[in-house]
Amino acid sequence: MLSRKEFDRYNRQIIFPDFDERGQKKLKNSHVLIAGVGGLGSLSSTYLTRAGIGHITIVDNDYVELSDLNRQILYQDENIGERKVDSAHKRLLGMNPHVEITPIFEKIQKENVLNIVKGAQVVVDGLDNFETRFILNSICVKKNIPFIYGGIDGLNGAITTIIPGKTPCLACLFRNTPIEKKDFLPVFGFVPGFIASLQSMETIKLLANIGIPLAGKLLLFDGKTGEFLLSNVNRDKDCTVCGEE
Amino acid sequence: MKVKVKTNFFGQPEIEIEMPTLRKVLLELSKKTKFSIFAPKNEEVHSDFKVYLNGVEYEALPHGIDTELKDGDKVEITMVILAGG
Repeated sequence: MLSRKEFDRYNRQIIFPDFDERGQKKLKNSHVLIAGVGGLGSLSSTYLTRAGIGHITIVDNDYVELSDLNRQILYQDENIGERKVDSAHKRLLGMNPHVEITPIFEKIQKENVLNIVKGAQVVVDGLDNFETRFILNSICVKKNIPFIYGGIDGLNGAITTIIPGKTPCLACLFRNTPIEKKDFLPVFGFVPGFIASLQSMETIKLLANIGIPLAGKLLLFDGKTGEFLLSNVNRDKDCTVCGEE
Repeated sequence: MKVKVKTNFFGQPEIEIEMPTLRKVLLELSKKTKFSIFAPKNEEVHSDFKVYLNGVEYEALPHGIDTELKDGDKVEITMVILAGG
């Protein structure tokens, strides 16, 4: 059931024809994990909280730094030095008191990832490194949880929605690609903002069963030229994570 | 000549070109995908892509991106993972 206040708060969503009250109830009964509350996770947690996802778990083991503030819109100067999940928790509850936020101050590793994803219906990628992404990708495949990959570098961004068993997983697409390790990536805030907005839309489409998700499709954006590449991507039958045994 | 290209972002397209070079293949693939695989300013390969000929990165080849292709050559163009967040 939605309360009167919830009806008013989500009115502009509820009047969306394919979504309506049923879609809003589905969001209310959903649990989403946002892995990382940095540039991507700041935006996706904001939109998903405001949209009324009933339960959001945020996980991050980092502290707010001055150099985060150009893009990590959950934080302000007064939060510098605080644990990101604590600042984010407080900020998100201030945006929407109807949402339960569970903060986890941990680094995602093979040993704890099973507990972290427990109960989540969708996992949203807000990570800043490929090692943790592959750990999360593996557990999502194993536990059959949709995983919404988003990544950025400079003015470039990419997104795909991974549905285990149906679409290629992250390892199908990228396990053989060389990784160039950089200590710091150049980034303007609007690039993770853009990709995280798409991730938020993908999450709501999956949970409310509206529209057609970017499942089996890779969207690549080049901000320098304004070009988009949207292409169908295929599963790799020899994939070490999701391939046929 | 038909050149079969393996990619991780656009399947395995077959591209027909006269006297093919890696550059010509990439230009044709850019037309097919409608996405610039060459950076517009300096015409170098976009930093989001890696290009291999028979497993060797193009930069390590004597003629680089202008290397001529022959029957049976294996061309692979891979989009790298964007790891930032």
